[in-house]
Amino acid sequence: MKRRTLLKGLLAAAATAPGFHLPLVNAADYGGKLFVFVQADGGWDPTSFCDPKSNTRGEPVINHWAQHDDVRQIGNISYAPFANNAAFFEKYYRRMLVINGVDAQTNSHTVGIVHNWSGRNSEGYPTLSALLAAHYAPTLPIPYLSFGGFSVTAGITRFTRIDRAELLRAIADPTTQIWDPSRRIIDEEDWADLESYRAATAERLAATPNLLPAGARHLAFYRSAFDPEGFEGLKRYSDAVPPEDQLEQEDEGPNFTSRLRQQAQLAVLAFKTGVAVSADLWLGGFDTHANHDQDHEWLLGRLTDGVDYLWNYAETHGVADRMVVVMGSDFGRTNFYNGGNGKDHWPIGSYIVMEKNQRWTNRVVGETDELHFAYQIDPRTLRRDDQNGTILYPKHIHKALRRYLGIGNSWGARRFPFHNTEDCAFFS
Amino acid sequence: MSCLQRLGKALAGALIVLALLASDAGAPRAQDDESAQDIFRDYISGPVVQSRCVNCHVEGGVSGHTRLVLVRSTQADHEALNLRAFENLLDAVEDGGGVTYVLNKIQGVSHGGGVQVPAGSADFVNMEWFLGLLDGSSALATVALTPDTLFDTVRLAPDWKTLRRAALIFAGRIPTEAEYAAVENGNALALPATIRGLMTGPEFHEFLIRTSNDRLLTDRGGQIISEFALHFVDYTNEAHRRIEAAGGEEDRAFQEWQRTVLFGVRRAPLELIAHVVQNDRPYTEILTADYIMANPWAAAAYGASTRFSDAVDPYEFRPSRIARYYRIGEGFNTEDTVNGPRVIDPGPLITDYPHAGILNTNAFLYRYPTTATNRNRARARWTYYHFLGLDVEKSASRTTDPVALADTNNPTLNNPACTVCHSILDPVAGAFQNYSDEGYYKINWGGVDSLDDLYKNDAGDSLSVHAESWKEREVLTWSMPFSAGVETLRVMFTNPFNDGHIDRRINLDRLDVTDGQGRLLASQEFEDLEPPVAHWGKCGEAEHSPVAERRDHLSLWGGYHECAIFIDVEIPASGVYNVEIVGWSNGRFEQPGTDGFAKLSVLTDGYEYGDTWYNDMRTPGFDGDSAPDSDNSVQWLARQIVADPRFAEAAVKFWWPAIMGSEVAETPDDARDADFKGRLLAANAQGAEVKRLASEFRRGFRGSPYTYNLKDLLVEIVLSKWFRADAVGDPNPVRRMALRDAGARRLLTPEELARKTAAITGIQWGRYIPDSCCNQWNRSRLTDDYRLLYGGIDSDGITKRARDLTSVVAGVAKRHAVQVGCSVVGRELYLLPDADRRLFAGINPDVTAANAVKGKLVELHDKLFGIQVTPDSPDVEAAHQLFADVMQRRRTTGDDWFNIWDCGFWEDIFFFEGILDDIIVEKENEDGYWYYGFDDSRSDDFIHGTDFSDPYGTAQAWAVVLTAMLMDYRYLYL
Repeated sequence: MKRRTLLKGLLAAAATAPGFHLPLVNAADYGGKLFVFVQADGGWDPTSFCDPKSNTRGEPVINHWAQHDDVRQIGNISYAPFANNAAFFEKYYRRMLVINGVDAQTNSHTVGIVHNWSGRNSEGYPTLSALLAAHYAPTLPIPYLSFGGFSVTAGITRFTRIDRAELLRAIADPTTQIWDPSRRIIDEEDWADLESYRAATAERLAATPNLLPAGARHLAFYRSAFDPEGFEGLKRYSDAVPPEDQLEQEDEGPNFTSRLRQQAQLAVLAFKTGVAVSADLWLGGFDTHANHDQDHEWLLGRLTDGVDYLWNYAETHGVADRMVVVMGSDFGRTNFYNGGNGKDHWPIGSYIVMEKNQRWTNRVVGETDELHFAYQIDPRTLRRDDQNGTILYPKHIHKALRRYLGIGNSWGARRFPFHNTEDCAFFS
Repeated sequence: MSCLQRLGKALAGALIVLALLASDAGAPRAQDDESAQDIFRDYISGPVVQSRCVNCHVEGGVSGHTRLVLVRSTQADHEALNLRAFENLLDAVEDGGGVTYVLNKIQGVSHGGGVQVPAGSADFVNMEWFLGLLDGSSALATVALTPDTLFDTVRLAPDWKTLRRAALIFAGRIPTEAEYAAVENGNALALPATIRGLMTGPEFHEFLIRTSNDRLLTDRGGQIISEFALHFVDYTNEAHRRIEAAGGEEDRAFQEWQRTVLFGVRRAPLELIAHVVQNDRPYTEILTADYIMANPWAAAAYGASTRFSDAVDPYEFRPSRIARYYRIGEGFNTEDTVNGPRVIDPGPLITDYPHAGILNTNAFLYRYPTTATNRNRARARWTYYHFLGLDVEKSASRTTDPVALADTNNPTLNNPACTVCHSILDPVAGAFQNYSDEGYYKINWGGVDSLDDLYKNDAGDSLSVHAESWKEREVLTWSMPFSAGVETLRVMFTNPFNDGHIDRRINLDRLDVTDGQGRLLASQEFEDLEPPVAHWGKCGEAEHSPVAERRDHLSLWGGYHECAIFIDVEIPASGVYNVEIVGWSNGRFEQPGTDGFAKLSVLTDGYEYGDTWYNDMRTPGFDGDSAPDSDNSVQWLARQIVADPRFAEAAVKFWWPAIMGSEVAETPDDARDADFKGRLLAANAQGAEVKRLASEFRRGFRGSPYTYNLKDLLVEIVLSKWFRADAVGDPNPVRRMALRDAGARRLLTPEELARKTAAITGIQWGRYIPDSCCNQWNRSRLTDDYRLLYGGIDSDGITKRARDLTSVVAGVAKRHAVQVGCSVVGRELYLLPDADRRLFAGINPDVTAANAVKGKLVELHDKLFGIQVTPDSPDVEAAHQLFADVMQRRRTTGDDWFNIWDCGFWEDIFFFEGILDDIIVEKENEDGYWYYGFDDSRSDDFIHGTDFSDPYGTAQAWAVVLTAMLMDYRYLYL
């Protein structure tokens, strides 16, 4: 039986398991877009990044950098002269849409993370990465890579963690000797027989009447995950991953570390080798209740450096033209410093969506006042409308992204809809 | 009609409806001649409204801002008013969905108060009945499946199967023949007794440590206690001594010593749980223990005189006390040396450490650190979550007013959008008042508190005093936001002592508070107040002005924040007010500074000498009660928590995932969600099961004298239908969704798989003996190198297990199976005597007969999968076909040697156990580090001297078949 037929069959068998569905798109020849979501964990400060704020007379200092510097602009995008922002915005403004004034409706990390990455402020919805993976790559071996952060799939797909890339080789080709890959513990013909036996056994188990939902679901996952053809993809991927000493190394700062570059590297190689279509990259530490400037400067520097590396590496490996990158965070930070020179939680945040060669880029939509309160926006014109506009919430961004990325009417999107949510013309 | 009769009638109505539904007899309606008013009066007002709703849904309550505001029974016409409130609510809900809206709310859907009336309960039926009548419809038809009927079409697993799965969880092995016999031949109590009998020994201990860490996440690295913090004086001085002895180096011995101390410190919470459970002590002791678990190293660091059976065993933990923790104050003398700090004299502030079980272990406090603005809220949040089963953050998961959230007037105390959570959270945060950011007790000078300096030294908005004499006295004005009620104003002379530009005195005449219209609300002459006192003594006194015959002002000296005057002012309504103070300084004797002679501040709720908690937060306490003694408020909190009925429920929720592999189902938030009915049913049914288990846990299961016995609870979780569900013969999608996680079919964790393989086969992939502390469990490839790839956690960045199989996880499973399968066959068929074999007794390389091979396959199916098959079953036939194919191919190729070197057998340090004595030796690598390995010359000689001939290809065939079985779904999943 051909693998495609097999997978369709087993997934159909599992269709009665809650949360599972027959794939609508065959991913084998997928040449569409690739998706990266960069989660700045802890609540970043848009006023020192993409929604820059100068200090206002009579109000507490919102940003120390604004005491001696002015907001900068490149193209149509304003940014804060802070950290390494200048290099980042000046290099990428042409492929950048900044969405400011997005209200996370909470000051709680848990809720803010759920809200920003699933589009809803209560649990139960999957990440956009998961929806995209489920739609575009249901049969790929590791369609959705997660390097940390919020990666809830709501049962529509599975995410894969990779922390020790150097071990991939050993598991992509499990019959070779680790100490001498030229030798096999089980030779190929025996292994092929073994795989046939294993697959037939699993098929028989899946046909057991009256399986519990969990049994049906796990058997479907099992059959898909063990599929030999999937391992061919995994092998391609592991072959593409450079040796450990050539992988990007952890970046150690005074208080935090970043592995964003390595995450980007592994994601791009997964895209290139056709084993994944979406990835969540993660950088933690943005919860700067003390020493905000010092820590945020380092973290924003690593964030922009990581995304820059992502684009460069994607370019090198020929997938940059297909890549869509979304940056965001739990929420923003207060419009004043606390006694410890830190900034506490603030519900208003931003997203940055990046893609090459699009007419919707080099733009800023959404608006906040001088103290970083969100204005209401006309969803159609995206202009400020204090009378009839709406505050932007993560659901607006998610709904628009779903539509733009071609899954607005997908099975997953219909299963996890955004009710009473205006269509915002971000991408037109 | 009695209550019971009424209930019976209501339930009968529901059953009739179900019957009608089944026969498609049209829309059912409850038939009753009573009115909504009657039902409300008899069955709703007391047991539902007054017992539950009014705890929050009253004016001034945490839900006083919602669409349902009720009145308490102390109000004479409460029934009529409350009935009207429900009517208004039904009218207010759009599209006539009021009944569903209320019914969902009381089941916890988008309800800050969580589940108040579980579906299927008598109160729920009455609420449906009442609301249906009130609305002019009946909602009874919605009761199609209930928690009670959910399992009607589910088949439960037989006892032996339940026992096997329990053994894998608790003992890391399959049951013995005696254990199987006990449940197969015993009475109804045999199964629980046998399962309980599994809960012993190191494997059960490992289960307790690992699974409790899955929740607490305390088992991670970090300098939990530091020699530089000085409080643990014995630890500080021992560190100094060791570095000095090593010539100023933190040499390998020092690092090993420190690693072992910190291991003992960080394991304290988990070992406490293990100690309580293994010794059948009441589970409440995990919070109330007046001791801390410590290994010999940690005990020494604590200055404890604990007795150990083996004083050099880092894994032996005993109840200890933190005996020599010193707070820092007068008499505490240290010296800083090139070898680190050394405490010369710890002074008098030795501390009777107020142990409160897990809650004030350094490991717990360090895992959930705090900051100047967080103020222990994270600690409170996780205390609620772990020990009361309440996720406070989730109660905020609803639309909130952005302006309210941006409020800067102490919103956590004043703004209803914030107080809905903070009124619950902040008192508990306050109970942790004595613990610093990193978890030390009363760290500030004098050992008086752990308040943040930013708060203690907060000067608010200081205004400069330019008047330098009584004659020039001036009015200083602050515009301040006040909340309704009593505000305490703190007036401070904030210049530091060493400010050369100003005098040390400031003179205060009068304070006035006016509202926005200039109306005087309060006035205070300063000379009428008691002179302020700081810790060094009096710092002000009433004095005469040059023209007065009586004392007419108050003169302050000394500056600093402790020298402050406190004035209570009654504020009628929240708003912005002006505070005006008439005053002057003695500046004429000094040179003025650039902005005047002195600075004066007024703030509300500021620090007062002797405070141990923040005045701008709620009083330390719990559930409406205040902690009586600030010194040991966490001990008090622990007692309150274990006395709370939610503690037992939280314990069930805490341990449920360790067995089931999924969290207890939560109520879905939105009735429009996909699969809402099924998920709601699951939440209700599991919620009911949690309550049942918790109730028995509190009072003792099956008449047991043990209350709060965790072993009994674990047994009962395994015996629940949610674990024992084995099959369901019903396609009903609501039922299937509700049973989504029933049966606990889950991927074994890397730790469970490693233990299972070792127990069944005697081989563990990559097993090693660590050359240093403290790696007690993670001694194999699955639990070390591949742990995260196989879905494990690191308790730091990755804190939730990935339980779905992906290709990467499958790849690890394949590699595991390949390495183990080959090694097992080589070891058993060629090296071990027949009597010592675990899987292949009676099998040698020359056994080719089909009946013998099939007989062995029957055995392997039993041992590996726990299933009974016959030699002619499809399972055995298929496995035998694989065996025969491989064997035939071998014979075709002429390869007649089993190459055990290909297996990588040396990856398991215990490969030669029972074969070669004393084969494990200490070795040293080229970097000078020692490790354990084989005595290579002996092992090589032995292998080379062994005949591994495989003339018929059977050994290779068994290796392939065993590998296939080790990656079988039934092997990898529980």
